[in-house]
Amino acid sequence: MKILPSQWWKLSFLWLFKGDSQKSKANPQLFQNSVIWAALGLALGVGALSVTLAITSGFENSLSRIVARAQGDVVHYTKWASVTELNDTAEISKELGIPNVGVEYFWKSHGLVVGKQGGRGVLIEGKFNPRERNAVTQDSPAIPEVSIGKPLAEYLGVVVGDQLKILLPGLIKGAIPVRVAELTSFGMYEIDSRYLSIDDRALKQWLEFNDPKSYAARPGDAFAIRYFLGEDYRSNDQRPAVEAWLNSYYAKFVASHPNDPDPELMPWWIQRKNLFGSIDLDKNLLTLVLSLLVLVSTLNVAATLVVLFLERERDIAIVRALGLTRGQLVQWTGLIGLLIGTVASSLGLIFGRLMGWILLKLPWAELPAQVYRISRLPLEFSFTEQSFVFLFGVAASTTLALALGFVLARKPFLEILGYRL
Amino acid sequence: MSLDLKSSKASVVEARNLKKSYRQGDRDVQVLKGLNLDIHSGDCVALLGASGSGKSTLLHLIGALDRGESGELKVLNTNLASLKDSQRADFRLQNIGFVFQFHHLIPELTALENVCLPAALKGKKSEARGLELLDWMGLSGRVYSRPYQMSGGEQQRVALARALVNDPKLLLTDEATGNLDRERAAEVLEILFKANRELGTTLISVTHDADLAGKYARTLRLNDGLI
Repeated sequence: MKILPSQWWKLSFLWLFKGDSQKSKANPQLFQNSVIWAALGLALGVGALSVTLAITSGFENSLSRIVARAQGDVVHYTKWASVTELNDTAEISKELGIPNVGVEYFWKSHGLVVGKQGGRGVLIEGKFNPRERNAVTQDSPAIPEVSIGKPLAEYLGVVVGDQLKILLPGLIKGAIPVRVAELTSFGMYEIDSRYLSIDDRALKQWLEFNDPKSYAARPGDAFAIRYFLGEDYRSNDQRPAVEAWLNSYYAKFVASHPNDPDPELMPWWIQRKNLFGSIDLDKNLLTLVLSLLVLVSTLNVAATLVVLFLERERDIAIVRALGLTRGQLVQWTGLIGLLIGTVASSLGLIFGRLMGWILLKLPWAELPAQVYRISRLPLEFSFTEQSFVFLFGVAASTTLALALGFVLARKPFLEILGYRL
Repeated sequence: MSLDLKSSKASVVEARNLKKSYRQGDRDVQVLKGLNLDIHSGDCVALLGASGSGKSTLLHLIGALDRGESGELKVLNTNLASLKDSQRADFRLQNIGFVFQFHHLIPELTALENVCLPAALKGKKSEARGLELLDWMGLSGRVYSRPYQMSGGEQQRVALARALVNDPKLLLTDEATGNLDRERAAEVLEILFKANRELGTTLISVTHDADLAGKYARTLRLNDGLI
């Protein structure tokens, strides 16, 4: 296909932005404004989509960080429970090329915790290889130490140093006294108010000394292993990387542990499937609605182009009579759509940033920090999502302009020039 | 009925049993009814006929602007019926210069830019040729004027320069002087003849003015769709 000549582009520019010099004198608002306003409308639609995706992504990524920091990026539940052997899996994870990977072994059981003001059903995690944050001291090893979330401590009416009682029905008869060693805050209410973490070694020592019968029925060795892959893996964009890691890990694990053929591996988004599922649903719905808004804005651009083409119908017919092919005409309209789409979408991404900046300045940006440890509206402009928004704006504008081009190319130019057909 | 302009020169237009009809309301109007025609290289031909006689239609068919219904039409040894739309556009660009009754210049472009547009569509740089043609048309002082800054005669001469910029083998004009006063019409006509004479371009002009047609070397009268 022949490339359109430079005169044609000069003409297009004049038509789009300056209008007919004679008509402009009579009515200076005739053209230029409609094209610019239509492009601005598209830019605003793209901007709204851009900032909405940035907010939902920011929210999703912030929560994923909280969940992953608290409960690991990936949790591996195994039916086969030899900690010694599980240690090897830590080596595997290192072999998989993720530096400074954190590993935590634990068992999990439903239980009851009773404090000064009352009791509550909780999930008790026995940490087999406690991390520093559990802050277990060896001052009084006879009483196991626990860490609990601040909201749970408030509910129970305890502070650091106070004693609690825990019950593990079905596993251990009677109550086990524990001491609050640390109050934690991961920033997610459902974790901070429902989890109790205990040093498994201290629990075993206490049971062995105080209740040998129960010791025999104690929770077993760790049956789950938690991997902390690092902050780089805690965003929506990184899901494929985590999945790739999981697949590789799974394959190696299954190959090296034939007696545990179907280990359960849960990445952070599966651990809180309902939460992230609902965020994804909200995000998809908002994306759909705002994509429709972008499409409507694109229709506005198309309507402006229709007016432009109708106004310039005679000039276009002249050039067609001179030798402009249908293909060149479609190429021209498509390139005009591409040009408008590119400029408007680029502007839209800038608008998105600007809207985000303004939103953060407004009081609405304050969030209830007691629910999530997010005190301000989170905004994260993901390169992938913003590229999608940009390409969507460009593609919609180009496609509609191309469609118009096809219609225009089918018009009988001789008739337009005043000859009957 | 046919008219063969016997000549040793190469054939430029060769029509055999050419037919064309239009749909008007719920009936077909036959405009060309099996027309035969031969025009040779360098001819200077006037197509004369009353309104609705089919002369513009014939010109559009020769100029590859429209398609015949049946029969054969060869222009510059090319069977136009066999060409696809894009090939017809290319054929027009390479071989045909067309001047309409209304100048049909593009208002935003200068005279020179208007003249150079067909060459630009060919991918050729033609500023020198455009300036030469404008000078030839007596418009060297109007090179950078826009159409609305020029008189009707000047506009039509720019349109003529535009038709000639690709050095077409065939120049077709449709009532090119119809909108001009006698003096301006004479100027444009003189330039058309000059192009035919000096550039060797075959000239076919449509007119309904018998006096004007008389100034051409050959006159073909169209009557009821036949010559």
